[in-house]
Amino acid sequence: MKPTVQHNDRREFLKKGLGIAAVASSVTVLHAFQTDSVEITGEMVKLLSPEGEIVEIDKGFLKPIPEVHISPEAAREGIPNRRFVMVIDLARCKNLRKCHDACEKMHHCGPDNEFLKVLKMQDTKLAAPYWQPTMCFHCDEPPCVKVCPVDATYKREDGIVLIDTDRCIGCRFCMVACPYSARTFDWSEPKFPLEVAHQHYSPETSVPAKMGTVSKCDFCPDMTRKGEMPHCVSACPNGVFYFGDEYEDAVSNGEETVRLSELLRDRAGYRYLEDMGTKPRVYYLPPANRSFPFEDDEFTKNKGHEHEK
Amino acid sequence: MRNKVTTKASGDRTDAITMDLMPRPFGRLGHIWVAVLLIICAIGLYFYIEQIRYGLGITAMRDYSTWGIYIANFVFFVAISLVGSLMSAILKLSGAHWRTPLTRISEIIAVASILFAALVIVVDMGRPDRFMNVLLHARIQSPITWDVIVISTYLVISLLLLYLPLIPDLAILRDHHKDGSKWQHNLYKVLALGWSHHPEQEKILRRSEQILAILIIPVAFGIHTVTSWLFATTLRPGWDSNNFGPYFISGAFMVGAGGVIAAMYIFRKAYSLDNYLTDKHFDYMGKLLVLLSLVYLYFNINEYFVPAYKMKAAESAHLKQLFFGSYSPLFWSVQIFGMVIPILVLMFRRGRKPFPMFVIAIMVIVGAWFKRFLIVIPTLSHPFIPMTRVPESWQHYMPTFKEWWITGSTLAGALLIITFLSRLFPIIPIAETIEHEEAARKGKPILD
Amino acid sequence: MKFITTNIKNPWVSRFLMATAVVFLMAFSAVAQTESDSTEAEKPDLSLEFRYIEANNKTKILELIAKAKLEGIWQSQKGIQVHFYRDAEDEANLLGNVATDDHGLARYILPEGVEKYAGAGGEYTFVAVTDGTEQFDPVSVEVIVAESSFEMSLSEEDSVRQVHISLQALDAEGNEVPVGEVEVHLYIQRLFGLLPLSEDPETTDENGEVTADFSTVIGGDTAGNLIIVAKIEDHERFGNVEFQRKIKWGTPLIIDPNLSARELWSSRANAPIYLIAIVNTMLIGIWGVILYILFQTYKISKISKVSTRSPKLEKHH
Repeated sequence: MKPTVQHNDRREFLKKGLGIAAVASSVTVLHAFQTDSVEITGEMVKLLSPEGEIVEIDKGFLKPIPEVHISPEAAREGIPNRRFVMVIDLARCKNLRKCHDACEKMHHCGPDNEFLKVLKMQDTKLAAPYWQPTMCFHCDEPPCVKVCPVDATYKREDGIVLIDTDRCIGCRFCMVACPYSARTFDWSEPKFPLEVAHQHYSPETSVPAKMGTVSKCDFCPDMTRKGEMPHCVSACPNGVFYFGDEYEDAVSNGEETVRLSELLRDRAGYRYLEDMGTKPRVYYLPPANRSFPFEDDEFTKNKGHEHEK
Repeated sequence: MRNKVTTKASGDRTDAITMDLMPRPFGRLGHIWVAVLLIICAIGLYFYIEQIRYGLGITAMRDYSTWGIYIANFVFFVAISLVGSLMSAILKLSGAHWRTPLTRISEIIAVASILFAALVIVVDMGRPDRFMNVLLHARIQSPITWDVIVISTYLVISLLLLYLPLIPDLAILRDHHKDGSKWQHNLYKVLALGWSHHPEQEKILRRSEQILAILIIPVAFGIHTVTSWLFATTLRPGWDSNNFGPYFISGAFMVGAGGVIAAMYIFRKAYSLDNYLTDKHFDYMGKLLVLLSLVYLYFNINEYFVPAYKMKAAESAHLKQLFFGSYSPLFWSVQIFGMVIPILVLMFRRGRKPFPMFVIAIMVIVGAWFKRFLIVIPTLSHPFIPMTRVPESWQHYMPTFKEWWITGSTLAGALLIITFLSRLFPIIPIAETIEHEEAARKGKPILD
Repeated sequence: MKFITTNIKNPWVSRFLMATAVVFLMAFSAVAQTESDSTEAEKPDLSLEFRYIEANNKTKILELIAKAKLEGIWQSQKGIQVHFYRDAEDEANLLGNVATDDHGLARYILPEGVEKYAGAGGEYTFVAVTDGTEQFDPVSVEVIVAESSFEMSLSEEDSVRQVHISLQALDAEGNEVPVGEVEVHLYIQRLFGLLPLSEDPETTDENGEVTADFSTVIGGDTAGNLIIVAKIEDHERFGNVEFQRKIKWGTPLIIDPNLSARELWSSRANAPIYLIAIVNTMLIGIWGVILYILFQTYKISKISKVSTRSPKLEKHH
């Protein structure tokens, strides 16, 4: 269902004199109202209008909310007046991988197409190793977008770099151009449960993925549109991820909301491979004064120093 | 009286040349050759259809080694296609008249390989069904868009450079080729454009050839420089090099010369052209190949020595793998057998005899193919972010059987096109050869 | 679409609110264990966070979050039926029924006129009861709160910006009296949470008042608007009370002009002019020559026709 249609329906509904807003009831939220198809149930429901007034309407007007679907064309616009930014506190990451699991679950990307990785890093032999979650850094001067021949991947006004897999030709130039190995390719037909496969594709959800196209971390704009944080951020029990709007100069990790500029200044925030000149939108806080010792997992145990070459 | 005799003698000679160089039907060996190539291509096509159905997953490429031998093969085809501009343009403009019998061979190689370069890049696409997006949504900022533009331009110029000098020959075929089928005759008639040796026609043709010879040089440099930029515009160690454009072009001329030598040898054997492709031609080509190899050696030293001297962290993993690591046997074989030994052998007059030249040319071609492999593949196994939690097969790219076969069938396809073109058209320009011989007899300077 | 986001952006909906009451109850535990099979006996506990929220002295909300620890992880429980009652669990006292959403949240807005059920000191008792499911046993939780009058006003004089708070409540006789010694938190509403104005909360004085300076320089919307939020959090008597106001105390937002610049990483429509110029010049130049050559070949074929027809030209030959 296209957003414009919903809009008209709503206007139609409002014309009938029923100011309406979000719901305080079991119906997830009311959304598209088709007045001609409403069955009056006689059961009244209370709702809160945008003005804070409580209104009562017939339950028949309530319909379960259809997933807000942002079409590939609409997704190019970006969320107005926002500039999303992420800060990852390496001192708090202990490789619990909840971020990874939530990401994998919500994007249905599977172990061969990880959008988010948690890597063992060690800068020098004498320094202690640490865990570093990495994903697409949504660079302000993205080398991947530079090289795309068909405008399939693009930089939005809200800072997010997305991929339109309806447009992508699968040349994989963006993958070699990205110095952070953030992009992944669907080498074979991806396997989904039926309801996922039938979902309307949107670049904002990156679901469902298509064979022969590139995908990557999308900063969950479907969530931020709802005022909610990306899945990795909300899944982390240690508050490793801070997410927010650079224009507002505030980031939140779900527990606390702090000023972005203060956080980066006080904790010596940096960006990975700054000298690449890509201007990432993801910052790291150094793994100093860690709250727990580093422990190898089954993948890194016998590998020695990963980062040293 | 004397005059008449000369004309008669030259007329006989003209007939002899025409007869010698007329395209001939395949012999038994020719038929076997074509059949084998067709079978290879048919199986390759079958595997490609499988790739369309099941995705690039049938190859060994994965997220880290995201470009594989398809791209290496693409670079190889683009490289070898540069021979057209070398023989038809650079040697023409520098007045090397001995090149005359070699121009047709090199233009045929150029056209066949540039066609397959374009095809191979489509084979590498995840979504070939969306090829039209490249035109409909073209982003002018992308080196791929530049490559599409420059490849199609180069293809058109190469076709013209093959076709224009062919027109007088087509007129000869139209008038003298009798044993061919009807469609073949009609083809000659249409393509000959009613050529009647009119001075005005000859003037226009000569002028057009001259213009094309100049035009193709920047386009040829463009095509291979842009191809090198597919790598050099990224930040990856091993590709992040300012040397890549000239490095690629010098390598391309070298393998192109190797390709012409190999083709010369085979055509000479197959069509008994010893009088036209003489030892002298091999000698000149040998000298040319030495020169081109030395230039390539120079760029190789720049490409490997300078970063190795600095050993920046990211570069060092890549270079160490090439010099001492898992790719070192291939790397040193390619450098020694594909470059150093050819230089040493071809320095000597004896080495420039047809058969040793043929062996050297094959070494150069095979070496050049694997050199492209070494340029494209090892870099991708050294990402900046460490590769962890990935299956072993992702870390060491080893192409699958089907991938090898599809790649092999594109090479077979290019050979097939070369074979068919040589079956249809004279592999050595008839009209030009006659012209040169007459000019030599009369002691006139050759108009070229 | 719009009204959903409006709702969630409002602070009283945000999940940063503190729990008023967290009650763990295992109903029917003894009976269940004797009567049912072993799998039912091992049913995990459903944990309920039940809170009362009063926003802008107007809207009163009951909010319940259902969670359970499954396989060692706390998970929100969706689709749990919740019945809200006033005073006690009784059909006559039923306020409404709500099911929990994806976040395990069930929210009920108390109807106007609920004040008539308050006691003399303005206190209420609310009860939430969940239905038993295949996975969980029914659970009941209760919250006792008192009504309050919590207001915030903002002032700006001689470029000194101040936030004023006043808190009043009913005493035992039903008279409105100021309440001192209550912690009040001041925030700026941001997209994903509330940014504290100061490190420590303010405390109301004996007049039930707080005055705080607002000296923060921070971005607002394009007009410079900010939403300032005052909150009493998790108070034993008042629960969660909050008041919010929008004011032009922020720095107006200026969109980064770099975003629409013609750059190498811009969209196709925003390609750099120099690049368009160079590529097109080269294209026109080279293809112009190619077209010229094609025209020349056409001329070659023309000449042949003329030459075979025209005796004049034949003579020249």
